[in-house]
Amino acid sequence: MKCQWQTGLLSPEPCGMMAMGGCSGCGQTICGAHTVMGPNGPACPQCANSQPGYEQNEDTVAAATRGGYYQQYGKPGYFSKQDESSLNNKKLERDDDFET
Amino acid sequence: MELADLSRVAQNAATAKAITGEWDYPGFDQLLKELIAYDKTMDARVGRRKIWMLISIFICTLAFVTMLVLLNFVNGAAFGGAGFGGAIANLIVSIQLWRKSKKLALPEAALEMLHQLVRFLHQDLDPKAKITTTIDLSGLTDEKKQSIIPMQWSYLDPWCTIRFKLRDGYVVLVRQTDSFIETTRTRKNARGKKKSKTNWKKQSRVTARIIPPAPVKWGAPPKVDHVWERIKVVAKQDLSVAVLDRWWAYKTPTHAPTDAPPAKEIVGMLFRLCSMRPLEAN
Repeated sequence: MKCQWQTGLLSPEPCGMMAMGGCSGCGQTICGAHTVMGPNGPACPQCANSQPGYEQNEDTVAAATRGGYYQQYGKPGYFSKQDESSLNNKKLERDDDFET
Repeated sequence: MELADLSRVAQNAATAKAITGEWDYPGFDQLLKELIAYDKTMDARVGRRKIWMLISIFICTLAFVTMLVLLNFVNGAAFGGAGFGGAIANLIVSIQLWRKSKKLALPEAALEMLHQLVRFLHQDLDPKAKITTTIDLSGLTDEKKQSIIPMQWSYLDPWCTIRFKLRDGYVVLVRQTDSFIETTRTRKNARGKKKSKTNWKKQSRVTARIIPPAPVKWGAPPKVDHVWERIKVVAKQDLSVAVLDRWWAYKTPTHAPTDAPPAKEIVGMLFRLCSMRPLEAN
């Protein structure tokens, strides 16, 4: 079994390392590097961040940041009619300082 | 951390006040850490020298008053004059050193923003690709100053361009341009004395683009703030690029605003742009 913890923010990918066990919160398999110990047993960074008593590290902070962005901007694909019309605005398509 | 304690790359960056080149993540992170530590030392030095300068002004005033008192005594003028001269020399040296250390300081907000940005995104970076930067840390210099009308000046500072490749092959380009307007108003008070007042305004524009590795059909546009943000898809040759612009405005009296767009919000811009990628890339 491989670690299912998704690393990254813009292009999340599973960690892929050999799993050491499962998360006591969500049940996904996690490797040693992504296991956070606490009062309810081993947890993934996301569950460790949302439950009291778990120590916080770089991964739990990253998980909280990612959760914050999902909450603030919604899941991919969310848009309103106003957003759609702004994208179709022909005036905005001119971009002289384009650079790749 | 003094200049001599920095690595050679960081020394060059601190001296040239520019970070230009291609970096891998650990190297760039280390460079920014060193520059932030150096800047903290410089800021502390600027603070100390400012205190010394203020004390020198006080000593100078005291020496002047003492000189006036001593003029009434025999040989008093010589002693008083020597004391006052010494105090003036001390003041001149303290002002020069304060100015010199101020010139060596780096823009703290810019370095912090860059450091946080790369730390937020380091897991998303393609480990084989480099981070390309063109960063100008010289701040507001006379070369960037332009007169708009009498007593009003503008500064245009396109200080940051950073480009990196994500693990899924998309290339991200972030560019920040700061523009400042300095306005000085002069008026006469009831006694006929001239009084002047300076105001500063700053506008920061961040443009984030994601460039696909191959032509793609972009997904639905994300949520944007219609006052401060513009989103568009521009076509160039056979590629279409998603672009999100965002503006921030700041205003302060007497000195140029040091506030800067937070890294968290720039990451938010990239997050929303990346949500437009076709589903297989998400």
